[in-house]
Amino acid sequence: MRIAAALTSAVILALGCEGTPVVYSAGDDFAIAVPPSVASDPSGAAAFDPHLDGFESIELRFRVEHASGATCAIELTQGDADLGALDGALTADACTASWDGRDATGAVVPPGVVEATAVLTRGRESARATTSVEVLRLGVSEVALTGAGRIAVLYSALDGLRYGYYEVEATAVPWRLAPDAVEMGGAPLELADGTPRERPEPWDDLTSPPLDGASADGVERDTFNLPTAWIAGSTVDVSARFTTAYADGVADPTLVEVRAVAPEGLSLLDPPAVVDGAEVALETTASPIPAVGRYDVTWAWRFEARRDAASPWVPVPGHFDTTHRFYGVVAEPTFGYDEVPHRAWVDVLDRVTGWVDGASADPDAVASRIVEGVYLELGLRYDRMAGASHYTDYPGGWERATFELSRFQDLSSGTIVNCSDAASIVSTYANMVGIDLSYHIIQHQFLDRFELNYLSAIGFDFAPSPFTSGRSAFRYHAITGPPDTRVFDATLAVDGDDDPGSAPNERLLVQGLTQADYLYRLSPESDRVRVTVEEKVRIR
Amino acid sequence: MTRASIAALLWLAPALAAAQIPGVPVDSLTPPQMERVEVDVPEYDGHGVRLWFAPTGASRATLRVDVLVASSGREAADAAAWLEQTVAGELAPLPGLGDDARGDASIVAFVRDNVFVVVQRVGEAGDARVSAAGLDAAIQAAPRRSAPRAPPIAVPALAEGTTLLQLPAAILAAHVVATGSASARRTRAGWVLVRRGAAPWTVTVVATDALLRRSRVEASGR
Repeated sequence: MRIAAALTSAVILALGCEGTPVVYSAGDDFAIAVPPSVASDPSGAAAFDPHLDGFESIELRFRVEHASGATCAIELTQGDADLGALDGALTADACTASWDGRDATGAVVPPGVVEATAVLTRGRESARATTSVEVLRLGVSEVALTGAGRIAVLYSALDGLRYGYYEVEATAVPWRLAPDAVEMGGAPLELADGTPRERPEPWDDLTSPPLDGASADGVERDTFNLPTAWIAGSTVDVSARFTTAYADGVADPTLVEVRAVAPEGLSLLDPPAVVDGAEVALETTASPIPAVGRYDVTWAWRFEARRDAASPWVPVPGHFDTTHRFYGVVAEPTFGYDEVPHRAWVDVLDRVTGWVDGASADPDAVASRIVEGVYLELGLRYDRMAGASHYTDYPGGWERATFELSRFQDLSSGTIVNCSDAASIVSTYANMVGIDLSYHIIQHQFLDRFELNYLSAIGFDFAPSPFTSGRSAFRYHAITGPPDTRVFDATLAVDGDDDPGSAPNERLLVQGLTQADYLYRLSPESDRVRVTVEEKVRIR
Repeated sequence: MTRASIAALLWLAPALAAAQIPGVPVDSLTPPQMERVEVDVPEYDGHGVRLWFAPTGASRATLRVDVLVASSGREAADAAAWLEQTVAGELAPLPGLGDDARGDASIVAFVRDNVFVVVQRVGEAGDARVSAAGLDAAIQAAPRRSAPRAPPIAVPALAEGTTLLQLPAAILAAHVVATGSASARRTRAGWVLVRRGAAPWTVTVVATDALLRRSRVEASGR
């Protein structure tokens, strides 16, 4: 409402919204206005954590009326500390200011209640109102991942030592943020000096978990982020533990109530109030591991706050991101041996899932990709001198193949292999991702060798002999296959055309050929060879 | 008679006439300009001790040597015959090496008395036959008088958590396998046994002394 009057040097007394006397003056032709008023706005920010990811500022908002011609400033205090003042933006109905959570010196304000006072001035102070905003520390200190589809994984060389097997059981917590065992002070979210604690990225060392000399077994127990392995298509039960602790104490909300908002891809089952140590149960809305692959998933944990039950929930600006690495496999490992190290090795999972790259969870497709990867992508070459094993032993008989997997993974015995090695690699990789491949031995039924067709031995093109000697015969040959007797073989590619006994040769990888077709392409004596042994490779 | 049996007899004939070698000093086996970088004792029976050699100053091995000090010349010959069966190509005879030897530049297998040796190069450089000749000479020079064996390895009862396996000082290297509620882990302090849960456990320790004599201990508990 505007009232026009012709007053000269008039003085108008009024009361501000909180009873403060306000004096208005006007000139001869001044339009007399109703005194401005200001009040807190319950839809404004109630709480914030300046350390959250993506946090830039909060909007301090006050409702105003009759503020035409006035200016607005917002003064900030925390206890006895004067944090400075902000220039407010004044519209017809609001005074707002963005605050980055820092004081006049640029320092991030510590947890606690901040009083924000809007001061309207029209010539002189006209009105003021105060609201409270709570500074919090919000974050996640532990993320547990459970479910029927999770499988144990194994690091093969703890602290870089061969045979330093370290199993991460299927129930182990994979993500944690906490002060180091020997750290003085500090909290999950902050170092002792208040610096935000760095969150762990997915652990990239494929053979050893992170180390901590202060822990009982030398493995990091405080802050870590280990990958987990899951049967493709699994849903994941997530349990997150919240923390509000900071270097100097716990910043549980006192002014507001805080609740968590489920990250995208998760649904909240029973959201509790967010206080230090509160746990929340969630589940994935869709499998984060849809196929055989390596999936890095980031969950943005968000929060909302309200002043009381009658107030609306207001988003807390920013989010707390945690990233998790999931390896998807076909099924549980199929070794047939229970003891360590017969588990899914992290370095093997990483290699195989990288090859498949989410394209499939079908066992035949994955086994085929393993054959392709071993045959074409590892730089392996057939032992053309003797055809001797470099990574596989048969202690006491064909039935007890033992594969030096840890040495193969770092190629400590070189890149030259024979059929036993290739069969060990393919079947072990397959077994680790849940594909039921066993190895078999092919021999002549009566003689000590069987003749060969032109073959493309691993690392070499088609030749009449895989050996430098020109010998075109194998004493034996090791292959792998599922129980239905099909053949997967990365030692060699066969001639895939209608006449495998002569040139030209069409390279055909052995990816699920029937045994009869495979033997026909392998040897002109296919009707005189026998396939024996159906065993799983042992590893060490 | 099987092919393997015939092959074993061929390996065995010269070995039968030879004297017993109680052990081979491991330090005598290091080829010139090389150093031993690792000793492994495969846990399975019938296998020797596996030695890895690298050029002096290098860490990556270029030569692998398996030495089986067998209980008899026949056992050594059997091992040699089986090794030959597990080579997809062929191993040509190498006259003048050991009692009987087969192989080429990439791999050599020979028997000297009751000792069976496999020499295999890592990669395509070097000649395993040259290394094998030096090893054969070292084996022939090995003392024929038996030395005392290391005291037996004691596997303690396993409690929940980790237990360090104490090995006698005379043990050069060991490999440990555990099953059931236990697992084994190699650490910088030695082999550690990890027990989780109350289920029964078994522990197998296979070790060698500096004469490459293997020993095996098994223990179990619940």
